[in-house]
Amino acid sequence: MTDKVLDPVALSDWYVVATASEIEPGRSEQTRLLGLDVVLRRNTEGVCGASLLAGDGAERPMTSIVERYGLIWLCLGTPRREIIAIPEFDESQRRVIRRGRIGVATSGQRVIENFVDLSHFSFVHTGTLGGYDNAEVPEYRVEFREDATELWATECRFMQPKASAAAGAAEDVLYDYRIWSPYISVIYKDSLVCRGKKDLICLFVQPLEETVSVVHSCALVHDETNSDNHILHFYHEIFAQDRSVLIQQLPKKLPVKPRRDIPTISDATSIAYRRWLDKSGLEFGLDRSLP
Amino acid sequence: MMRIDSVNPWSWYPVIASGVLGAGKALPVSLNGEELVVWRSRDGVAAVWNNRCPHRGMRLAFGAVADNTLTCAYHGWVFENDGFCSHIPAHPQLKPSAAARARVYPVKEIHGYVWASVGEPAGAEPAPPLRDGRRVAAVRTLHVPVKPEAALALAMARPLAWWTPADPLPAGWQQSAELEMNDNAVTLHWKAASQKFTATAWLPGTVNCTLIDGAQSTEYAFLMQPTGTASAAIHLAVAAQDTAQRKLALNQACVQMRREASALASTGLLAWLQALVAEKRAADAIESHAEV
Repeated sequence: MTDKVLDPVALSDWYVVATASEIEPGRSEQTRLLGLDVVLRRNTEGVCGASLLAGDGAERPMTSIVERYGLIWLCLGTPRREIIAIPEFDESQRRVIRRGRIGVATSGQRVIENFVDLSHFSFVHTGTLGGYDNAEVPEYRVEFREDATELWATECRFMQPKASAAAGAAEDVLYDYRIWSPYISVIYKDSLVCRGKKDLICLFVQPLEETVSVVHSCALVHDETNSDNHILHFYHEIFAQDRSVLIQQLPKKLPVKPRRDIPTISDATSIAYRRWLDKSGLEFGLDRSLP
Repeated sequence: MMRIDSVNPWSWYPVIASGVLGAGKALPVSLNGEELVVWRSRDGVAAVWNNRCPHRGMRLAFGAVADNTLTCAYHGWVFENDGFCSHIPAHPQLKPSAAARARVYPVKEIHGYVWASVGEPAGAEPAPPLRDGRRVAAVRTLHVPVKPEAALALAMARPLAWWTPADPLPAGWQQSAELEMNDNAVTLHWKAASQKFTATAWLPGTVNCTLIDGAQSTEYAFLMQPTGTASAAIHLAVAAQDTAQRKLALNQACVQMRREASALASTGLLAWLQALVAEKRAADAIESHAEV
């Protein structure tokens, strides 16, 4: 057990540790969260429990485990709040595409910062989410909501050659980014199929270690034509591109102090996210050294 | 007195052979534990920077060279040869802040290599690989998982062509070693029946070797690049006028040397050399004391 694991800010939050359907009745699975060994075990009645695995092999049962949105949520300490509300999971008009788990050898905060970044579209997702000829990032709004527990970037607009698996022609797409926790973010993005409606892309990062992450992700999309596989393929290609960048960033822990990196206007979300993380007192996955 | 067991970071070290770095290329290299990018503009100018974009920490070696600029792969920021960012595609009208600059290191391209220093280099330029200043050809670069000073010891331990396990060292080889030291260099003289081998290590990390075998003489230089605390690269250079056949033979010998390098370094080659140096110092001290 490292010092960072005793980080009270990290311990009092909720994390997705598995997709519910992955653990069948009578089955168990061992995973890691915040540098600790965790066993998830579903009994024959279908109830999933979790316990912390000590060094000597002893299991300490955890009480804060919840199944919601088809995902297993775990808090290793005393939860300081409710799990994120995403009412769209209960609405019927969208398809829920579960993108499985994808490992990334970097901090979860690097993953989230990249997820909420508009200006990489043209260079990392050339031909789908952006293009060299339309790299300019128009101004957007950044604000705190829910008593400053959530960070939002709204009115984000970007010209996208192919915004989703269902998209036809290039379009100017409107985005809202919602950062609910250091490790969880949701995109609300214009549906190009159902005008006036939003598609959701949810990113739930499970921090195994400070610089090793597993990304659980769901897309809630309006799409009547494409197969699950086709939609998955679209997202996997996007994520593979993101990962190729994420594993090349130095340092792996996200620097949060000003002037460690040099941002520009379009980095407003990143600046707010780093400042918000710094103020939160979180240590896990962050590089707090000064420039 | 020179210490073979100390690597001075405030020195020029070769980071890549000039011929490997074509115009428009960007490659990752390491020096004294720092990740660097070495790249060459279309105009042929080599630059060595910290391998980290000042914007978001993306490794710049994954970027692309266009004309005389290096573009970061993540957000397309364009950096000029002096390290300053000149264009941010997200804001084409914006003049980038002067703070948006890659960390630039001193660089020199001379004697067939690109040399860099992670500090302020002590000398104006690196010494030529062959002391008489003959033009050299870069034969090969070996990456060895041993301490930089152990890499020097490896280069001095035996002729490059003798790293084949099938060829045992001549009888009495190890015992033949004679040490000579002055302020700038450590020289080892080795002898067998018909062979004589001389290896001289100069600060900060050049080893000049000469093997005389009967009438035949082979000369080469190892240029040591300390990549980390427990890793080094050694660049093998020979006189440019050497035959292609000899270059090929030494190139192949390098492969064999790397195969043996970690095993041999861990058998205490460096410790043996250090003990030899200590012994020599003690002997010299007694001698100078006796003279008084």
